[in-house]
Amino acid sequence: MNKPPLYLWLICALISFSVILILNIYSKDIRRYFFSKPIGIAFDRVNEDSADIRVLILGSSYVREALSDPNVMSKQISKNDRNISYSFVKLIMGGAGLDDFVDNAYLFKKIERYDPHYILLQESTVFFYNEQKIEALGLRRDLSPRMIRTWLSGSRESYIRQQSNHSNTFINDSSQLATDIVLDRIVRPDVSMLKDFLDKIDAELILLHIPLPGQLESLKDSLRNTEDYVNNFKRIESKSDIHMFKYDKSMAFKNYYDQAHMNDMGEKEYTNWFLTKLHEFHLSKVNIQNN
Amino acid sequence: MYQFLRNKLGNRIANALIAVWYIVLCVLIYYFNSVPAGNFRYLNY
Amino acid sequence: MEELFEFIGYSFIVVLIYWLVKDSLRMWVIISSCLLYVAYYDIESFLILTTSSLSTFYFLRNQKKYNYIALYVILALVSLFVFYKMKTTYDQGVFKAALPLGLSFYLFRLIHFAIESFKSNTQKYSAQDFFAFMFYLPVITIGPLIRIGEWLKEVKRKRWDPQLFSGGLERILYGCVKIVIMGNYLFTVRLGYLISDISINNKWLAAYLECISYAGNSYMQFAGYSDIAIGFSMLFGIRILENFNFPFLASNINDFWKRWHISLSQWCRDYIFTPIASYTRLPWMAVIASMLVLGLWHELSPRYVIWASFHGIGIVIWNLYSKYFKNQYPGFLGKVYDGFSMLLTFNFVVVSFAWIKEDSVWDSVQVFKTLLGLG
Repeated sequence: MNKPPLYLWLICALISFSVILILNIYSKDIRRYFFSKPIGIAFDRVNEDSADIRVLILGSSYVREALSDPNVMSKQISKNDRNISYSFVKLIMGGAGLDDFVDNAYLFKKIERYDPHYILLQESTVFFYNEQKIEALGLRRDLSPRMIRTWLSGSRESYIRQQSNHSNTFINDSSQLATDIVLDRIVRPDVSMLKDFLDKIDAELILLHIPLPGQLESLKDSLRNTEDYVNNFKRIESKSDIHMFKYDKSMAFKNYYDQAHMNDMGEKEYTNWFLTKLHEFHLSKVNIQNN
Repeated sequence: MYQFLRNKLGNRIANALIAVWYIVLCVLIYYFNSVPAGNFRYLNY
Repeated sequence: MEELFEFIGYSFIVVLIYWLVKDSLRMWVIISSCLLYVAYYDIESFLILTTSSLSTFYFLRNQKKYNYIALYVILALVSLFVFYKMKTTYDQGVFKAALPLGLSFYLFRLIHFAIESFKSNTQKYSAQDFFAFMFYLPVITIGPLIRIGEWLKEVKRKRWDPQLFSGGLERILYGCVKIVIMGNYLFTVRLGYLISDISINNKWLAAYLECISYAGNSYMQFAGYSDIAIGFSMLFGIRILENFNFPFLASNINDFWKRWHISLSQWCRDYIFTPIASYTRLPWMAVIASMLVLGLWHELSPRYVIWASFHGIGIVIWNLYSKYFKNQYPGFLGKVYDGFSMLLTFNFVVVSFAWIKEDSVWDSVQVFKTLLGLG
């Protein structure tokens, strides 16, 4: 007998199936467990009393690559205006959706202690981060194989290579891209979640738009029906106290190292834009209060 | 491989080892199955 | 990848039904499931497959010594093949993948049947034999090119054997591992990252590794699909011929083609090489011709012509070399010689993939320039 008996195959099939199922169901808790460590580290770094304005930034790896480190940003913004000092906390969870933040009690404990003036939330975590196929199974969103692959390899890019003058860029093939950013029926539940989030915090909530490269941004617009999207968002804006920092210019491909993550050139450009925008926003707010 | 393990370790341990090996492979296939297929075009011959 | 897993899931259901029905119905289960699969997947492919098979069988059913209708049938099949390959290969510089499902494989099976019919070797096969051969589910998409004679012998021997079944399951598992983990992940993604990291500093190494990545991925994918086909065939209780035999360990280029896509190279040997060699008495011409057919089977395009000629010339040179020089080194020296020839063959094959991995011949020339240190 040089091949395993048949009952062994049955056992293997059953066990593999259950292992995959269990991993899928508990992947969220596993993720949360690993996420609690960065939360602790990020908040321990800042000195609570030193800054006038405290800013918390929540997002996925898009934010990680698009914005500079907190202390770099603090220094840079103080160059422009020496009267106000800012402190930043940047909290990153790879592939995050809003539910990753909303359900996290540990995070809110930390937020309470830090008491930020502004909370910036990556816009795409609210509005279009979803994988349709997984939804169709009726299971949790982050059972996605892609998610776990991200842990294993630390990256999720694939393979149509694009040469640019400055760096190699990887871009997803367009069919895959389409499933990533299609937005239809998911908006509503996530907006209610946003409300939950607002109830829990005592700060100004700003949605932060991290642009894709120009061409892909327009592809995304064509997929999600931008007009509806904008109307939807205006409705939310009028009813609540949410604002949005939208990056209106078109980002060049050379500023990315894959289809969505910026390289250092993109980071510089985007961070500059972001800090100016934030400062302007803060000043206008102060003006309104004074008047 | 199965034959080798059986001769070396006996029936039960060989079965257990080979089962673990297959399960690991199945789980890995599940996790990697959405990696795109590079240059090879399936169903195109 | 979804198509693959759909195919696997579907085939498992068919296997279950196959073993539940009584013996006389089993072949019909395979035939009907195959037709259903093709029809579900693409109705145009289904129509081409059924009409070409039916008409081939109809025209060739009355057989005499030297059945000349077979020649017309062969001609028709070849033109069908060329038509579909031409239509889909290039459309305004863009590759279009609209080839009917498994067309290259089943048309070559039909041509094989017509040639055998011309040699009047097919009288003994009934309609059921023929259709079971044409609509054999495991090999319909990408499986080895089976031959009717050998295959029917195996069909007659089929029986329930737990060992064979277990072996088949193992083959399928390893096939998936080859495709998903080795081919897609390791050779394409991981090696791709490595290449992109080093491509700025070391162009030569990057170009070379790209060739390895392409060759490795092609091998892993193709061998994986063959493994799955062979595995499912084993689940049906039927053994079919192997398609790959560690091709990158070949000690010369001739040996390589006895180990890489064995079923197709044997087909070319039997139906292209042997006739041409026996008529013209020019083995080198037969080699080049069969390599051209083998290359153009993949795709009708200049890059495959060059690739096939590259290999053909390699084989001719090897034949000339082996005629005059023989490996007569004893002991250790002989082993060094073997290792060196293996390395040389490996590099010849890997580098030859540069011809087909780029979209145009000009890009391939650039790759060769880089590899030779000229650009």
